[in-house]
Amino acid sequence: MKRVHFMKKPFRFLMLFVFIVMFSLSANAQQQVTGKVTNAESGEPLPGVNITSMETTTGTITDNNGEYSIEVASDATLVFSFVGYQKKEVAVEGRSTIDVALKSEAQELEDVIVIGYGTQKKSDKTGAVSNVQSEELKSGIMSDPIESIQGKTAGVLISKTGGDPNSGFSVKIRGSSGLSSNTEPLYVVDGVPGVDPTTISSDNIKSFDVLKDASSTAIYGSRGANGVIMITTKKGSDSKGSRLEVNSSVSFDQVANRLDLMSAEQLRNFSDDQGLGLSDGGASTDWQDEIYRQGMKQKYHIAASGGNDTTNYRASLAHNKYKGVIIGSGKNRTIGRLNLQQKAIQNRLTLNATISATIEGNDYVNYGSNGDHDVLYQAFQRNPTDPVYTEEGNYYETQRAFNYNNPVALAKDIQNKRDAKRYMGNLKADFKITEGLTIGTNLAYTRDDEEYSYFEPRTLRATKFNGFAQKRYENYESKLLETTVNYNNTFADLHNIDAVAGYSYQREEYTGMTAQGNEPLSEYVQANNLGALNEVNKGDVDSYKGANKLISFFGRVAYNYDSRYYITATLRRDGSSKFGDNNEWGLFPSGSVKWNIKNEDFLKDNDLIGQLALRAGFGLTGNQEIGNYHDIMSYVVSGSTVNFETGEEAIQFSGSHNANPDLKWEENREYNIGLDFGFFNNRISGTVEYYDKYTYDLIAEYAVDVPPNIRPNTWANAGAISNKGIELMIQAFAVNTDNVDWKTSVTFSKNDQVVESLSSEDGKFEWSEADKKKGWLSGRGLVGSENWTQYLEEGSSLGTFYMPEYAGLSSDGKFLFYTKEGGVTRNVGEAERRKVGSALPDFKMTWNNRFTLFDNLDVNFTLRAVQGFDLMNNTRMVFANPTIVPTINGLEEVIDETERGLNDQPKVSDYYLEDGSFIKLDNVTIGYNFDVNTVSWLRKARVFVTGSNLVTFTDYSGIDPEISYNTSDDLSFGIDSYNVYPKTRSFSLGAKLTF
Amino acid sequence: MKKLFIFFITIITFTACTDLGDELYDRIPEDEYPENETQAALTTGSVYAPMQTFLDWGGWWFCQEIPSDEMTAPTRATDWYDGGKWLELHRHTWNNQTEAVTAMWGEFYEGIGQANKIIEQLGGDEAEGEGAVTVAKMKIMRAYYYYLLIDNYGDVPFVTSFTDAPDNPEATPRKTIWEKIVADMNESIPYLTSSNTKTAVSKGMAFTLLAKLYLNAEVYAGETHWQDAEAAVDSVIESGRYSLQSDPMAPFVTENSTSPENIFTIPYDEDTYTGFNLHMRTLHYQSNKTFGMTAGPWNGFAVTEDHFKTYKEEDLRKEGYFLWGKQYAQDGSPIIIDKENFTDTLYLDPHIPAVEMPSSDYTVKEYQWSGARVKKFEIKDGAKANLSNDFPIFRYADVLLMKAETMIRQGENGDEYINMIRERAGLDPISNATLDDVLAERGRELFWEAHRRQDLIRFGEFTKSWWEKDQSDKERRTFPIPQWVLDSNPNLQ
Repeated sequence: MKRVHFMKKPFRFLMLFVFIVMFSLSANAQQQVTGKVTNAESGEPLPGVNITSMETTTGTITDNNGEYSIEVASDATLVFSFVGYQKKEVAVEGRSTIDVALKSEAQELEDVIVIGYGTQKKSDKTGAVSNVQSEELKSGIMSDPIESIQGKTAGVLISKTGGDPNSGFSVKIRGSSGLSSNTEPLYVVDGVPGVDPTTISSDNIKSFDVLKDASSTAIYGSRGANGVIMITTKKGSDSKGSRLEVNSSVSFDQVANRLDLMSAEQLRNFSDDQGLGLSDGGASTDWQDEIYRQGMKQKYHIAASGGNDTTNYRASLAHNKYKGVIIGSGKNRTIGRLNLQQKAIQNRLTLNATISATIEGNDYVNYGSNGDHDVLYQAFQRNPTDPVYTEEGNYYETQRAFNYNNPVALAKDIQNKRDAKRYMGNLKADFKITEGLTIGTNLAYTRDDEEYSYFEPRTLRATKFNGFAQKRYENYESKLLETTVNYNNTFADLHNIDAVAGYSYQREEYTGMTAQGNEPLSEYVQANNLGALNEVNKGDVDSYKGANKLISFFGRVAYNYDSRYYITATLRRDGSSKFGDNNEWGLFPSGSVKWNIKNEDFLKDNDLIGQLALRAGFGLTGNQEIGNYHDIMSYVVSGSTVNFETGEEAIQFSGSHNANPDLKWEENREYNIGLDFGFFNNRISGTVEYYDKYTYDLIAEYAVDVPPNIRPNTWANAGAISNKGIELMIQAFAVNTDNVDWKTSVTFSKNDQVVESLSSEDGKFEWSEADKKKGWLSGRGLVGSENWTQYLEEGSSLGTFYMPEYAGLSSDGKFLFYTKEGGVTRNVGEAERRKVGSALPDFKMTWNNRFTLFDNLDVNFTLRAVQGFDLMNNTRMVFANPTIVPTINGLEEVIDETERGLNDQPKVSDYYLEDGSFIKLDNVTIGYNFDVNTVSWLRKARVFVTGSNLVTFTDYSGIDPEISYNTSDDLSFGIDSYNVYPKTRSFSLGAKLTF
Repeated sequence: MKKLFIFFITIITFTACTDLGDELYDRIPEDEYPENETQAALTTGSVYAPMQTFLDWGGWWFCQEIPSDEMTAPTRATDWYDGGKWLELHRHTWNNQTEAVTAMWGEFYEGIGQANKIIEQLGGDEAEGEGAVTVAKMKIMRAYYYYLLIDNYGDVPFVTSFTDAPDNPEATPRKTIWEKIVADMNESIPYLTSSNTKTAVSKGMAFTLLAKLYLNAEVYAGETHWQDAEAAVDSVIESGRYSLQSDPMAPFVTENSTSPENIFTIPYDEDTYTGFNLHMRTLHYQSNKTFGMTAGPWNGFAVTEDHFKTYKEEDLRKEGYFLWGKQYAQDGSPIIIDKENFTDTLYLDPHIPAVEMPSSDYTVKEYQWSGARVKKFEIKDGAKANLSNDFPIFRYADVLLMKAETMIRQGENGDEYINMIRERAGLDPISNATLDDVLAERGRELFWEAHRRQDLIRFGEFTKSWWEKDQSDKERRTFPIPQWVLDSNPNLQ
């Protein structure tokens, strides 16, 4: 067993904790404050309420009669907190008696939600917006902060194929889909659209607001169609007084599930039994053991905040380190972030400045296909009788089959790194002209500088050109200028109006360059000195630069009468350089209404119904997430060619694609109906939403005839997809006793998708038969025109599996498939393709639970289910096939398949289509909060252990049933094809201290 | 209030930029192209470009060689099954979705479309001076692609305009197309000046193409044109620009771009103009040691045993073209294959037990070692995954054999020309050569150069049975129009 020195670093940090006891008490006039704390609903006294002073670390608790007494400075602010109740802050302002009524947490309605160019009280929302506060976020060490709301909101499918720390999550809101556009939601961080959420540490996030329906997202116009996720970060103003938070955790990761490949012994026995000529390499190697290892994640986060009435700040530094479970893979990320808020001119001007820097390093391994560099594939296929090393200690290499390489050599000898520096600066100024009227400016600058290095030594067997080295730089820059004017007022105590109008300008620019070559004459300098390359050819040096602009005017008016009748209207006019000359500007309106029934006289005093509101909305949004320059034709360098008249080498310039001045955004029309309810003093509350989305004018690159066109392809708008669904969220404070609190919530969502059209109305653009075939499989023996699994078809959803249906084996062990005529055939080409499944789930569901025991101990766990979808297990199709054995290794299933009599090449059919439904015990966290009332310098101390991905209930036979619903080719998903980096089962422990 | 509003509007209009034009940096705007003479000279390159795909993904080479009697791509255990496409080609059981069959079509029409476009851009028949010469060359290239289309598919859509091309053209009879392109050729050739260009249209290329069109006229148009074929062949011979090299391997060396024997070539380069990787497909996994190659070859294609046997021991081409028997590394040491059942020197056996060799029925040696491999095109020391040898589409040796054939077909004696080829190969001359002798000599000399399918069809041998291929229907003399074409053009269904 390997020794793991995991305690070293956390200990170092604990030492730090001790040193950071530095905040001395202020020396203001002290006074005695007494009072009584009661339950706001019942008026009963609340014993055991924590009372602390914000500025110092003084604290006390209420007695059995709910009374307290505390000595604090006369200008102090008292914080009243009690489990199950909302925290309340009260300024002393010289008073000696302060009575406080605490509302139970069930009354979350006064929470503020962020809705794009403004905020709203939760009770005033008219659209489908889900809010997740920091306390509810999933804990543990995450590679992407978006993971922390996985399963927390209905209608948001957050998924990832496998457990690679270097790969991101796919986020799909309400089945958002296109044909080749990006369908990830727009992220808006503190009002800046387009910020990558991975540059925010999850410990710095105060809340997520997910804008799901078009009436909510229309304010983001041509970027709203896929939903918008608003992220609000923590600020110095969120908690008064100096404060220092330190937290650290460490996680140990094991491969959660492996393939059942044959061991060397099994392979030998099998070969003997079957009389196969196994050429025995003499060793007994478990290749999965060789490429997997124990992974580890570490997280350190420190944040300091403080300030006074006019100035406050929050500074934080987060460092995360991930050691992947495949050798050679890993990542580290350090994020520094500073936020400053300053009020001036009689508090009429608010300046808000943020700078952040993210330093990221990645070590990649190749996998995901059946290539000669793919570590997973090479490990799966590698004969277990082959040793890893020769007697001399070199990598053992042999040619058992085409593309057969030692995976350990691939993982260790290939350097594949990324080094990224990402900066963001944001300055906001809001000026209150009069009460209710504010103008604001928002300036943001984002810059990403990424450096990639790739090196393959000459000695690597898999290398093609005597080794290879490459350096690549990719830079991105975004400039944002927004000006807004806000107006809100209440007339006659009945008419509430909140309006915003603004202008936005955003320009993105990206540049980059690549230099590469073959035959590096030094293994030592790797890609750090490309001068050591002995062979550099035309095309080995390359660079690019491009830009796009988005200019917008927008406005929103929200009006309500007596908090009973609500109406909101928004309008955005977007212009984008990505669109053609004839369609540069798009108009995106939306409207929503709400009836807050609870505030009607007949319900106002009803104890049973705590909340009841009916909402309806309509909106038009767009998706402009396509590449640049699709609207025009240009001439691009396209490799080298020959000047045929002279026979000499030359550089080729080719037309990109035909110009399409009509090219425009994809448009999304959506209706939404929602019901918010709460019963029994809101101990049970929830939301039901129904939506009907129709996304049309889908953008894709269509094949067109040459002639009359100059080029064989044109980017155009054609096709439509509809999504209809329901979302349900119910939460309950199921148990609320002195010693046990149990808060539980369930989310459920169901989406039905239909591809409505695959051509433009004028018939000019349509999908060719060849392009409709999707989900191509690759692997040993899988060459030819039949290895597609999915078919794009009007009336079906994306990801519909269309495959030959398996009809058994022939007497000589060949696959048989049903034909149209009702017979059977051995020939895949003659088999009838049938609709045999779908990669899209029927529904998904999560169950979140939080128990608080004896005030100090809390237990959280989440069960997450995705049900009713199919996966094409190509890994099994290839590796459970007996014909590959014993040259290369196969699954144990090969033994069963041989007994069954299978004696045929891998052939595509529903025999390998499996139900992917799963229920996962995603996350269990047990935390303990120390009683810190007696420690004057400590506000909070918490330790916790988390188990992640603990149990998966599934019938799926592959490594993991969870597959991304977004791939580079958005239209082919649900295929397990040696592309699943194992998910990990991990246990982490951590501590969080607040001073 | 009003003032404030005006103030706000002023701010917005002041800052509001509404220019939404595309900003181009790394690409040339359409109206700026071509910027200079060099770029302009390359515009005709798009017409030749489809040929780059011919030996690989374009499928043309596969369709000419695998269905013929000289080549095979056997299934070696699981390797080279590839969904059955090689077996389909070998056994003449392909359909309109077989990969190579579907690929060629698009490449040919790409070349035709590009030629039509340039012809129109230059003013077509109205073009003058240099423009008229270019138009003539483009017409000849268009004729070349139509020649490939009628040769491979028979009746196909005949489109000679770019802007007025019909959306869904109907198929034109093979004969009509043949007549039109022959006429086009005859009109265009006078514009050509003599040149040594081998990578573009030259007089020699044009006359060789014309000779092919006449030689196969019986197949394409149902009428014989032996005399016309001979006249075209004579034009090539009499130009004096081409000659047989004394070494039969000389036209195939790596640096063959100036070979006087080659008339029209695809100018492959291992780095900058790739696509010639047939050596990877044929050589044994370990043969890279024989040639000091960095890339590991794929152990696939082999010469059929029957064809291999047509080379006599003294035939210089046998040693030159093939790799068989015990195999040695560059340093002369034997290539040892170490397996559990045996440790042996790699031995490539020209005998191939079957075209389909499952590992359950055949030994490793049988399925991995069988078949002599091909090294006709020089595999230079340290060769990469792509070769730099130019691939001859038309070669002077072919022209001489066509001369012999046209003479014999007209009842004359063609010995002089066939013997030029035989003697260079170290063989004794023959006398009173028959058509069978011509076909056999064409097979030996032009092996691996993608002429065999056409030759077998012209000589009426293509549908006969050989080795593991049964007698096939005469419909197999053309390939079916690909399914993807039928899908998009209802008039071809």
